[in-house]
Amino acid sequence: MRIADCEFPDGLLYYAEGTMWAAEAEGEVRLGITNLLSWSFGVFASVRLKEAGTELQRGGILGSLEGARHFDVLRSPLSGTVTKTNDALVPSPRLLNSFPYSEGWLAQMRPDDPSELDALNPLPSVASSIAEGLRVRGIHCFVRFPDLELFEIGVECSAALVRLNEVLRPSEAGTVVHVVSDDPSADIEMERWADETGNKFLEHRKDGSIHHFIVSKAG
Amino acid sequence: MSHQPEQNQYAADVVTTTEWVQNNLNDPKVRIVEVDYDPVLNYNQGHVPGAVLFDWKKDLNDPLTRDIVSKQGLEELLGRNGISKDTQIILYGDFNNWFAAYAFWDLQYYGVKGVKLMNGGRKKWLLEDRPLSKDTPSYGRETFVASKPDETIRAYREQVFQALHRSGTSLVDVRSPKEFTGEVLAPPEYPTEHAQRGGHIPGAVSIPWGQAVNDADGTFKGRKELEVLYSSKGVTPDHDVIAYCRIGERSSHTWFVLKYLLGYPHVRNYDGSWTEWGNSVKLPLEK
Repeated sequence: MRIADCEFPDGLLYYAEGTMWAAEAEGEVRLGITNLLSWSFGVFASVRLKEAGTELQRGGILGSLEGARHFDVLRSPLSGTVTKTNDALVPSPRLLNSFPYSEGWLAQMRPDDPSELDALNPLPSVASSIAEGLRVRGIHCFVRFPDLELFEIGVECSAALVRLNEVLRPSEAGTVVHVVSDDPSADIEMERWADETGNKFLEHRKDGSIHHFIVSKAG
Repeated sequence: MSHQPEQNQYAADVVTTTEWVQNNLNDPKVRIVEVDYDPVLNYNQGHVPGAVLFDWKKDLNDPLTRDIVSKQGLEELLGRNGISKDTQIILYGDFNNWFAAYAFWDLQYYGVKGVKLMNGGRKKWLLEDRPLSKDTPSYGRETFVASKPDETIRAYREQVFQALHRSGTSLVDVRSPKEFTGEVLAPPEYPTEHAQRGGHIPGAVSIPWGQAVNDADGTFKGRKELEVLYSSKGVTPDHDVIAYCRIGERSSHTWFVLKYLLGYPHVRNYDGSWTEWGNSVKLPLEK
């Protein structure tokens, strides 16, 4: 299901007002964050999780997350033992932004009492609370999480594209940029820019008179 | 892990612990204040029980004049939150206490005495799993009379310019290394707030604010370690020190460290910072 263009998979269980998900995996419970957190922290800088073997009570602190815009602790939805954590997050916390439901999972737990899972919410019962959470945080997702943002308001589109090229020149292939422009013809010029440079034009959304573009560097 | 022994060696008694705060939540003479850049993601999601909110953008600045809140504005803010001159104010906040440190600077500017920062801020309180509340408290109105501004702790553009060629002055740039070198015009999380030019004020040394805190819990490093950090870059107590960043909030954190934890006598915060200097006509810079 998509809410404000953010993906929330139907098959997962949700808790903490839809900011976290849980799912059965390998006979245990796998935990992660949803797009509601992923898009409100900014680019993640660090993840700290309790070690495998740690016993937690329901509501106990499983770890903490730090992003460019926010810091918060994460809590366990059930009582049990942490059996493993996602080592890939340590060198690449950015996985939490790009793949919160797959490669960016957080930890796995063996519940003391599997019936505690019944208290978690399937998507339909938490969808309105997720929508409200997205609204108060002002989140509207794009197809890809941007590495960089360019706000070019009051700037002619050709000048904005010069800036975009400057930003992309030293960046790695695949770098995703969110460009904001209020030039009325920006959408046409952005298509032409993509054709001429070979870079990818991934998404266009118009919000009133403001254009939002998601583009990525070719290669 | 306790930093208590090190805290006791700080030059002034301006830092308190999360433990002390939890033990004094119900003391009517104590007012806990959360100072947030982003209350939606922080105060509104749960805060220290009984804490009031100072919203950095709305409560501590005058957006029309690009100035600190006026004396009357500050008196009103304190009065409506039940703070009198006998109240012990404890500040803490998001982003490792940046905005709490800015509030501390605002309060010192208007002569408010006896204010302390809760070491580690919101981050440490959360990590220690201390109680949180979503209730917004209200306290009986008080009358607060602030003093006229103390201009000895604030630097203006002209003063910074005058200081460029004067020996005995240290300019401390507390932004990230890439902002210092001009590689980026604004930190990636605030892309709308960039300056026209990148670089730093000539002669400034780069000491990012975060080097003054322990990464794990956001508490201040011990006094000895802080002394080495600043003096090794030539920022010594005999200098007139001016700290700046992009909008003056991270530099109030460093101002706090130098003036109160280390007791440097002459430290100013240049709140115009890079968004003023980097955009001004004819001001020199280095990259």
